[in-house]
Amino acid sequence: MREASGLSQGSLGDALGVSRQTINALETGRYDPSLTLAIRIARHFGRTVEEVFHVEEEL
Amino acid sequence: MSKKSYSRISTANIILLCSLAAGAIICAVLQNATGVVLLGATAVFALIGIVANLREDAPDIGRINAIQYRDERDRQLARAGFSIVGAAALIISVIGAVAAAISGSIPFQIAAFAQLFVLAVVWGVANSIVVRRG
Repeated sequence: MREASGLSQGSLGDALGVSRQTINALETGRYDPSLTLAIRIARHFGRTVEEVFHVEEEL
Repeated sequence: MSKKSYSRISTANIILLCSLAAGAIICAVLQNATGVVLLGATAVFALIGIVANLREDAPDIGRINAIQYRDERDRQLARAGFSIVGAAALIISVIGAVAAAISGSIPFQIAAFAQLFVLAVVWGVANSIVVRRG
C-alpha cells in the first residue's frame, strides 16, 4: 500500500509523526500499533482499519 | 534538498543534566575535586549521547538509550527495557542491603536500606498507577 503510493518508509513515518523504524516494524509484523496510530494510518490511505490491518484468528 | 529535523531535549534528560550540573557546582563550592570531575564527566558524556540522538532519523536503539523517544514504539520499547532495569535494581538493592547488614557499617546500612525502601515505595506507587490506568 505504501509502495503503491510511491512513499518511502521515512516519508510515511514523517507524515504520520513516527520513525522510519516504526513503519518498518509495522510492515514486518514486529510491532502492533496503538488504536490511534492504526486509525491514523488507515485515514492516511483513505481506507478502513480492517482493510489495512489483518488479524489472524486464534483458535 | 533534504532537511534534517531535530527533536528537543526530553524533560527527563533536562532533569538529569541539571541534576548532574548542580551536583558538580555544589562539589566545586565545597572544593571536592573528585566530585566535580566525576559529575562533570558524567554530564559531558550524557550530553554527547543525547545530542548524537537528537536527529529524528537517529537509530531507534540510540533514541531509546538517550531517552529521546520519537513515537509510541520508542516509548513501548523503553518501558520494556526499564521494567528489566527495575527488576535488576530491586535484586541488586536486596543484595546490597544484605551486604550492608553483614558489613556492620552504619552509613552503608543506612544508604543501602534507604535505597531499598525508596525502590519498594516507587514499585508500589508504579503498580498502583498502572493498575488504575489498566
